[in-house]
Parts: sequence; C-alpha cells; structure tokens
Amino acid sequence: MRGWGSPRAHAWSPARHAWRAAWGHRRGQALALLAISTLITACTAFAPVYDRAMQQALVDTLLAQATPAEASVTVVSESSDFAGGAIDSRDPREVASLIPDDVAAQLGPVVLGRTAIVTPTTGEVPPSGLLLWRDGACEHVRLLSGTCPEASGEILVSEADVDNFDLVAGTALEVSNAIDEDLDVPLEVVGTYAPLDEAWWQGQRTVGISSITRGLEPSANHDAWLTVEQTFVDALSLTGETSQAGAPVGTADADVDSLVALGEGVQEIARTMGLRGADLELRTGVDELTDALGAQVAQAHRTVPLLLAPMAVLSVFVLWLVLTAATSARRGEVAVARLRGRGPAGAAALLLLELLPALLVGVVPGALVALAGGEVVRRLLPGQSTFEAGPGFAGALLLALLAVVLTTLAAAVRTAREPLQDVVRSGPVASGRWAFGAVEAFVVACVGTGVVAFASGSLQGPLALAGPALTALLTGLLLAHLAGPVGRALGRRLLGRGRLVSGTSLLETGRRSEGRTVIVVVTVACALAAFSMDALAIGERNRSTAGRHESGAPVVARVPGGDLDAVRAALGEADPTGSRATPVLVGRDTLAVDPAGFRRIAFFPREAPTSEEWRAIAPPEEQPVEIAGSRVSLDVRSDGLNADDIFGSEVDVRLSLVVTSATGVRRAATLGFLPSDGSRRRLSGTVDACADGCRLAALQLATAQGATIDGELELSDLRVDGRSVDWVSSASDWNTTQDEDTLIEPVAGSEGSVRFAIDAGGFYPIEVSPAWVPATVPALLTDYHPDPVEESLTVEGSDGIDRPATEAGRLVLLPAMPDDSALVDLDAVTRGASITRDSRLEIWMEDDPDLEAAVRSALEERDLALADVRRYADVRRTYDDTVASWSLALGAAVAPAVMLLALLVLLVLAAIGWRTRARDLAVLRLNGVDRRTTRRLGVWARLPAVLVGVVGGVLAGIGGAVLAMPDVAFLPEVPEVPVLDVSTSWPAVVAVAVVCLVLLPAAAALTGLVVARRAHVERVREGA
Amino acid sequence: MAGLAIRTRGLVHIYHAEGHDVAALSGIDLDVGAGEMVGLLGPSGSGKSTLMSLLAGIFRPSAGKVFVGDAELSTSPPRDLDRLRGTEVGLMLQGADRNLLPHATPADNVRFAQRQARRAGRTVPDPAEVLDGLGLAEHADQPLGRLTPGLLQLAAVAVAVSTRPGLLLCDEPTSQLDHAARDRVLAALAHVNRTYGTTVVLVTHDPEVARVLPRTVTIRDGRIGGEGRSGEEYAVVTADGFLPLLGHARDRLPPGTLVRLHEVGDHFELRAEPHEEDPA
Repeated sequence: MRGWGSPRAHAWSPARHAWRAAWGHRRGQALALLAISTLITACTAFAPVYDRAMQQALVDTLLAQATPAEASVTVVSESSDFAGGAIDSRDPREVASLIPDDVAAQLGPVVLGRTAIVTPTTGEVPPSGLLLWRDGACEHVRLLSGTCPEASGEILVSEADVDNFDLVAGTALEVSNAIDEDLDVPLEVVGTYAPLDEAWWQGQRTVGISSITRGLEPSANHDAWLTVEQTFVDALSLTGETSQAGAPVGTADADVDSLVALGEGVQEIARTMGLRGADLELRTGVDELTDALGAQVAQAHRTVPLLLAPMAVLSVFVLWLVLTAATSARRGEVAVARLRGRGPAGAAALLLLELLPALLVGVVPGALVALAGGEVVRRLLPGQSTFEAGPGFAGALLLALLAVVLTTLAAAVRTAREPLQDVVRSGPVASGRWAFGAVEAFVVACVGTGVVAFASGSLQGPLALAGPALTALLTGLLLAHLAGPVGRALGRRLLGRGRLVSGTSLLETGRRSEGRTVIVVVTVACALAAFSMDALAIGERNRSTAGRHESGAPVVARVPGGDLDAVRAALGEADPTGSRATPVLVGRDTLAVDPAGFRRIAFFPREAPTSEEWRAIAPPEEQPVEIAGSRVSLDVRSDGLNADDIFGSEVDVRLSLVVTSATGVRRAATLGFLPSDGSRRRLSGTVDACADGCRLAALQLATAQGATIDGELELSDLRVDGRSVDWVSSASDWNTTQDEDTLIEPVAGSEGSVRFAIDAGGFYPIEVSPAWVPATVPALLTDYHPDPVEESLTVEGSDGIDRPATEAGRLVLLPAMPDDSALVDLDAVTRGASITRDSRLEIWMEDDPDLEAAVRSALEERDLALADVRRYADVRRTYDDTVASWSLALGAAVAPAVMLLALLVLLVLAAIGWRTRARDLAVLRLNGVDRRTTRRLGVWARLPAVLVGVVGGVLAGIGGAVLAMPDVAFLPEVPEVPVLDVSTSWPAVVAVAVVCLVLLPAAAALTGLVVARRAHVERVREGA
Repeated sequence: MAGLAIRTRGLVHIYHAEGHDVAALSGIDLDVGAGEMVGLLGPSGSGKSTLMSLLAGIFRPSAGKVFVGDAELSTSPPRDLDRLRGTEVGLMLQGADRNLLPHATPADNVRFAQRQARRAGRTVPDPAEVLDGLGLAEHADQPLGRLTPGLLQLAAVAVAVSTRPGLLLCDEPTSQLDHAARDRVLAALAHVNRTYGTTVVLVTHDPEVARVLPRTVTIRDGRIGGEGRSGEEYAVVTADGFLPLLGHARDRLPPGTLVRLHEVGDHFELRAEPHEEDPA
C-alpha cells in the first residue's frame, strides 16, 4: 500500500489525497455522508419499488376476488332466428381465431365450447336447460356413474337431474329442434357427473339449477347436460345455440403489465367485434379489472408522493446542512488550494473529490435498502407475485444520484467561490443577525404563496400534494425567523433577572444560525411525522367505517323466504339471550330491526342512535285483538251510510276482517255486505289458519272502483266460534285512515261498539286498522334522507308499499343501507302487514362459528337455511387489500424516518459546533461559573429551538392534514354514503407529539451534555 | 527564475467594517528590487498584513497600483492572479497549518503546490530536492501531525518556494517558534533568497528577526514610517512631501509642535520653535 511512508509517490494524486482525507481522517463524517446518501437513495428508489409491489399485489388481489367469468375472456357466437330464416352460430375454432395472438398469449389455454337450450319433447313438465359441450370437459368433472359421452347424442347429467327427472343411465329422450319438429334430436343418458375445477369452467354454471316449480304454472329446469361436439353438428339447429372460445387469465404469472396489455387487447377486440358480425359477443370482466387497477394505481400515484416526496426533500435539506458544515470545515484546505493557484473550480474539485465518493458509495446501499424494502413489502402484501424493481427504479436511482451530486456540487461551489480574502481568514464565519436576506425572502414568499394557494383550494392536481410540506416549511421558516428577535429579547430579560441558564439558552437560540436551522428541520420533521401518522390513522378509521357500514354486522346472512316467526323461533333457540343474533328485514331503503338485539350487534360506525331515539321508534303499546278460531261474526249497523257507483246507482259494500295468522302473513275473512242505511245485520265468515290465534290487522271495505261511500258504520259484538272477543270499542283504539281519496275516522259509539265516519271515493279496498297497528311508522332517517316538502314522509313497508312515517331522529349512516334510508322497528312495521319479496329477511349476528352453527341447525329444523353470508372480516379485507390502504401504510415508515433525519441533524450540528460551544462554556467556567451550571447550559443549549420546532411542527402537521386530507384517497372508490371522516385523529397526533417531545429534546440534551463535559478550562486556549 | 521586483504607487486600502470605513493603507509607495530580502515592520493594525495581501493579489486595493514584476495586480483578472500565485508568487500565511493540507505529507503538499506550475509548463524542482534544500528530507513522508512547529514552518516554506517563485511573501514566519526553529526558518528564507534570487518580503514583529534583514520597511498608521538599511534607520519622504518622525523624536515633538527646517550646507536641521504661553 502506498501510505504515509511511500517514498515513491512522486506525482500529486488528488484521488489518493481525497481517499486519505475522507476515510483516513474524517471517517465519521464520511460515514454520516454515506448514511444520508443511503437514506436519500432508499427513500427515492423505494417509491417506485413500493409502487410496483402494490400494483402486483393489487393484480393478485383483483384476480383472486374476481369470479372465474370475470377473470376470463370469452368470445361467443350466438345463433339467431328471424323471419324467413336463421343464422347458425359459428364454428368454435373460427370463434377462437378472433382472439388475437397477442391477447391469447397472455391467457391460459383456449377452451372451445357449444351450448344450446334444450327441452325434452316428452314428460309432464319437461325441464329446460343447457346442452353443453366443452372441449375436454370429461377431464374437469367427477364422473359419478356411467361413462363419459363419446358418441353423438350421449349426455352426462347431474345427480339432481336423476333425482328430479329420473334420468338414470340408459334413459333415452328427444329434445326439440329449433327449425323442424320432425327433426328432434335424440339423446341418451350415459352417466352422471359433478363439476370440478371451477376456474376451467370460466364461470359456466352447470349444476344447482335442477328444480321443479309446482303450482298453477308449473315449470322445471335441468342442470347442464354434457355431451360431445358431434351432437351439435348432427343436430341441424338447436334453440339458443352458441359457440364459444374462452380462456382464463393466467393468474399464476399475471402481472401489472400483462394485465394492462390484456385490458388494451380486450378493448381492441370489443371495438372490432361489432364489425366482424352481429352474432359475436365478448364476455369478460378483464376490462373492469384493468379499470379498477388503473384507478387504484392513480390513487397510489397521489398518495405515495404525498408521503415520500416531502421526506426526500427533507433528506436533501439535511444533506445540504451536512455538506455545508463539511465544506466549511474544509475552508482551510480551500484557502491552501487558492493560495497555490487553484481557481474556485479547482478548489471545488478538491472538495468534490473528497465528499462525492462517500456519497456515491451511499447510493449502492440505498438502492439495496430500497430493493430489500420492496421484498419485505412484497412478502407483507397479499399475492404471490415475484419481486420486481419496477420500471421507475432506474429513474429514481438516477434522480437520487442527481440530487446528491447537485447538492454536493452546490455546497462545494458555495465554499470554493467565497472571496479569497474571506477564505484565508482563520476564524469562523460570523453568523448573520436576524434579517431577511433576498434569497430567504424569496423562498418564504414562494412557500407562502404555495400555502395560500393550497389553503384556498387553488392548488390542484399533483401540486396539491406539496401542500402539507409547504405548510410545514413556511411554519418552520417563520418560526425560525421569529425565534431570533424573540429569543434575544427574552434571553436578555431573563439574564437581567439573573436567570443565567434560561437567559443564555434563549439568547443563544436567537443569536446562532444553528438554532434557526434546528427549528426549521424539527418543524418540518414533526409536521411530516404528525401528518403521515394522522393519515395512517384516518385511513384505518375510514376503512373500518366503510367495512362496518358495508357489512352492517360481524356476520350477515340472508334467509330465503319471509317466515319471520320461524326465524325468530330459530334464533330464540340458538341464542336464548337474544343479544348475539337478531332478525332484520331489509327493504329497498328501509331497515326494520328488533332494537334490543340490533343495537348490540349491528355496527353504527359514525353515530349510534341514542336510547331516546331507540325508544322513539317503538311500536304502539296497544294490545292486539286476538282471534282464535275459524268462524267469525260481527254486528254491523249502517247509519246514514250510502254507497253509489260513478253512475249514481247504489252498490254493495263488502266488509272483511283482515288478520295476520303469523307475522307477515295477512289473511282476509269476508263477512258479507253491509246492511242498508239505518238497518243492522250480523255478518259472519270463516278465517283460515287462525285455530292457534290470529291478530286483527284491519277492517276492510270493498266495493266497485270509483264508487263513493259516505256515512257512518257501527260495529259490535265480535265473536269467534261463538265466543265473544275482547273488542276494541273505543274510538281511540282505532287509527284514522286518511289519504286524498279516503277518510275513515273512528268516532265515539255506544258501549261495546265502535263507530266509523266514512267518506271514501276512489280505489278499493279501503281499510281501517286498530291502534295496535301504527298509523305512522316512527323512523330514524339518515342525514341525507330528503325531507318531503309537499307529501308526508313515508318509509317502505315490509310489503314494499310506502307507509306514512314520522321522523324520530337523524343518523349519519344506517348499517348496510344507502344514503337516503330509514331505520324502523321490525315489530312496528310488520304489525298487520305482509312480508313480501320486496323485503329481504336476514340474520345479523356476531362472528362466532359456534353461534353460526347453532343458528344454521335451528333454521334447518324449520326447513330454513342461511344464504349469501357476508362477514365483516371479509368486507374489511377488501378495503385493506387496496392500494389506498397500502399507500397510507407508508406513513408508518415515514414518521420514524423523518424522526431519524431530525436526530441526524441534531447530531451533525452538535458535531460541527462542539468545539466552539465547548470553548464558550470553558470561558464561562474560567469566569467562575460552576461545572453544574455549565452542564445545565449545555443541556439547555438547543432545547428552546427543539421545543419550538416540535410544537410548531405538530401544529403545522395538523393544519396541513386539515387542508390535505379531503384530497387523500382513503378508499379504493369514492363512497356513495358519507363513511369518510377526515377529522384529525387526535390519538395519533398526540402519540406523535409525545414521541417528538421525548425523543428530540432528549437527543438535544444528551448531545449538549456531552459537549458540556468537554468544556475543560484548557480549551480556552484553542481559540487564541 | 530571477526575483520579481515590487512597486506600489499611492496604495490605499479601506476596509468596510460594521458600517464604518477604516483606512488600512493610506498611500504606500514602496519599491523592492528583484532579489531583495525586505522585512515589513510595524505595530499591530498598522497595515503590514494588508500590504502583504495586496502584494499577493488576495485583495484589490481601494486606490493605487501594485506591480509585481511586470504584472499590475490591481487590474489583473482573477484567473491571472490565480496563475500568478500558482507559479511566480509564493505566499506564507501566519501559522504553518494554514499553508498546508492537513492530511497530506510535506512531500504531498509540495507536489500539490507544484501542480499548477507543472500544468503551466514550468519546470519545477523535484519535491525531494525542495525538501532536502530545507533540511526536511527525512520528514518528507511523515504526517504533519508528527512534525514540530519549526519543521511545520519549514514545510510551509518548502511549499511556498516549491515552484521557485520570483517573489516569496511571508506573514510572521517566525512567530510562536523557539529561537532554534526561528533561526532555521530565517536561514531557509535567506537560502532561498540567496540561492534562487527570490525576492523575499516578510512581515515580522520580532526585532531579532528585523536585525538580520538587510532592509526593513516600517508601516505606521497605513503609511511607510521609515526604513532600515544595514542597521541604520531612515525616515522616508512620501510622494506628497510628508516626512514622518522616527523613534524617540516623536516623543520630543508632540503633535502641534512648530518646527523650522534649516538647510545647512549639504544637510538639513530641524528646529522646534519655543512654545508661546497663552496671554489669557
């Protein structure tokens, strides 16, 4: 090695000198430069790596969530009939040729197929369904019996078809031909199958269809019958015949680029499909997948720079600070170079040769850290994609390299271009007093303009991403410049009162430029930490809110049918407490619930109803009229009652009793026609299914449409099977029926009777209900529920018909409901009302497998089942596995990184100025200040600046968040309901503030203490 | 190369400090012949170092002209001044460490200093020869930290003369040195002056140093206050006709004293008039 003792080193070697200076004598500084360069490179290069990892994970997630039909590309040719002829579907091979090679190359193997709708020509209720050929289908089914079809006309059927239609092996049948009935197609069952390999079938449903519907219009459907292609070839034409060629997206090796390219290819196919023939159709969900991919990638391109760009800028700023300190420390060498004839360029080259290598070397570990981070992220994110650096990696590295080189160049040139007379001066450069230099004024003006534009909303698009960083920077700059005069003034005042430590600390903060630097850096770092953690917490909150709102409860499952009583009985068995599972009736925009259980089980993520509001939607307290038996009779007296049709002729009015035999099941028992005016008649009729008891839902009057009824009617002595019924005979026990055509008003009658004043003229039947049935349904409405202006408020009843309602309160969100919906009491809304298909019966319960099993078991005992199970955990995962979530997760890395940067700055500034500081303290000791006081002075030296920076930074972070959060994408799509709450997450902000208030002051105090310990009296001579 | 002559005319330099203008030099007319060895004397703040800086082209004078050889420094572009310092003018700042690259050996420092001259196509001596000439051969490749203050100063001299400059400017080259080291440094400077004909201008406070110099120029209040030649001290008439008083004469003739100049034969007599009492 050519070292100090090398006598043969004849020529001056700048590189050797730089190496010696950097690594031989300033190793710590070189390592600091290397660390900062590593950090800058890692931050910059990590952005595209992370972006790429997110995109790959997104592709995997989207493909995993997509149905087989969505994740495949299928071209279909469909036959068509028209007057005078028909067009056959094309040969599947011709259809396959329509998929371009470049698209096919990104798909799995193309599967050819044919389908037709076939119905046997014989049988009482012949089932209809698919006749299906798929090339190689036998390899993708489980043969349950018999053999695979080999010859034309041979079919495989499902076990369900065997059970429902007795299609055992060997059964021969014929299906009709689309053109000529004489050309029916013979088929023979050769075996039974069950499908395997769902992905291969590309969403083609083959089983689970077989069923028989009996009744007035009986019908039947069979599962898909699998056959060979020759069956289609031999049959001249089958109904609804299609041929198709489809291929699944290769999920194993799919990546962003291939999916995007596939999406473009699919769009191209779709564009040209119409030109190739009207019979062709493209069936795929790939275009929607790529749209979702594009939308979420666009979100990432906003959020990732929002979090990483300010940190990269802060890193460059820190690099600038370190480099200016490093170049200032080399002013003596610059002076020597200048004295030996080097110009500013030569002196700058001397600095660059020493500083740049360490920084350039730091790029390598920075790149490796970014790549390693990418690999870690890839493992943490869902999906099985292989690691990729991403297309922007090289560009980001180049950018980092450029930033490092340019910053170093600027710092070197800054020192090298100092006037020679300044550079040869031996003392340190005096720090400027508080004043706005032209450059600083320009910077503050620019940043201030940016902040004003940001706050006023004028800063749009990518520029808006700089808003929080600009806010932090402006705050830091202003605080730094205010700290000068304020610190000096306060310091002098405290010194005047004999407060040496606090006075001197404040005075130093105001006097030294390092104090201003600390304020700016700490402010920006704390602001970024507060902002990023706030964004992280708000994102978590909003995903939770969205997931909770969408799912409604930990587990929600549909119960086919509308047998609410059976469901209640099952739940009573599975959950005797009634607090872990509850029935819910869901209409188009109305949620009917049992408040006692629902309020415990359902999610109310933004605002739960108060106890008063729950009480306000309770049904009327009146008891129902119980009718147990079959024969019902009633005394009816007409008093001035006239009923005339539209021609003025008298018409009969039929009276019926409406009862509910079970919840949601209404039955009407016709009692007979009303007596003529002034007369009394006892009417009677039969009610079905009331042997175990029914409840009186209404009295119903029916007559010719358009007729008018006017007068009073008195009813009394209700009897069931000859037994007198406890009759509601007070006027207050009945509701008034009133709409624009009808008025039925209960009025006071004689003892034991009820009397109604009737004035009706419109559509019939008309009803009047007992007070047990709520006349208006009290409802909790969403904030965005429109206030009816002209008409009264209505909610959807369990029968799908709007019912008058009253507002009992307002909520931001109703679980699992759209924006303008209502929450009502299940009992209230089903009293006397039917439950029709317009409402969906669901069970909302806790996520407990045992509970779910118990509920299933209890339902099965009642011939009911759970279907369409929706779990909060699954819904939540769809929000968590999104780019919006992953982007915000960066906040967890940004906050520690900026803290690290701030710590680094404190350490670097301490390392740069420790000699001067130690000498100052030594001078104080020489003047009689004791060691304890000098140590306190050391500890407090930077504390005021750090504390000001922390407080200002956290406040700036909160301010930036308030302004920027509305523009941050927290969810993969813009929600249709107000689930977003971008208000400050105080726990997160307080946690950041506490960490900042502990970590940074501790570091400042510690470095100050170390400096104070070195303030020996002998050090005074160093400055002589 | 031969030594470079120095000529300054009406040299004025004003510092701007804290809102005030301070005249460091107030009209210096100085001639130093090629190959001369001259000491600049004077109290602190008299302007010696400022004059040195002007001669090295570090400052530009506020007024007046500075000639080093044929070059007029006050109007030379920075690039020419850099080239001049890299080839023809060697400058030693006060304090040896300010003249040396801290993490290089004396030999490396010499090589570093010679680089500009080599690039300019000038023939420069071998670094070993330079160091050997100053008695530093055995310390050529030692770290600077291991050298004594005297050796460090010699290394600084070696660097300053490594290009065989025509002019060597030394600011307090012997300060903070013991007598032996001081003598070695002075001997080295004399050797350079004698051997290579280099014009040497050095600033010193040390009377011992001044005594051994063939010529000294005393700067006082920014003006040339006198000259010493071969042990004799002379007052120098300035271009505008002023004649500063030297030494103890200043004590005997306080400001305001009226003097009369009498020409007596081939010399002049200076007589102070008696001080008149104020009648009041």
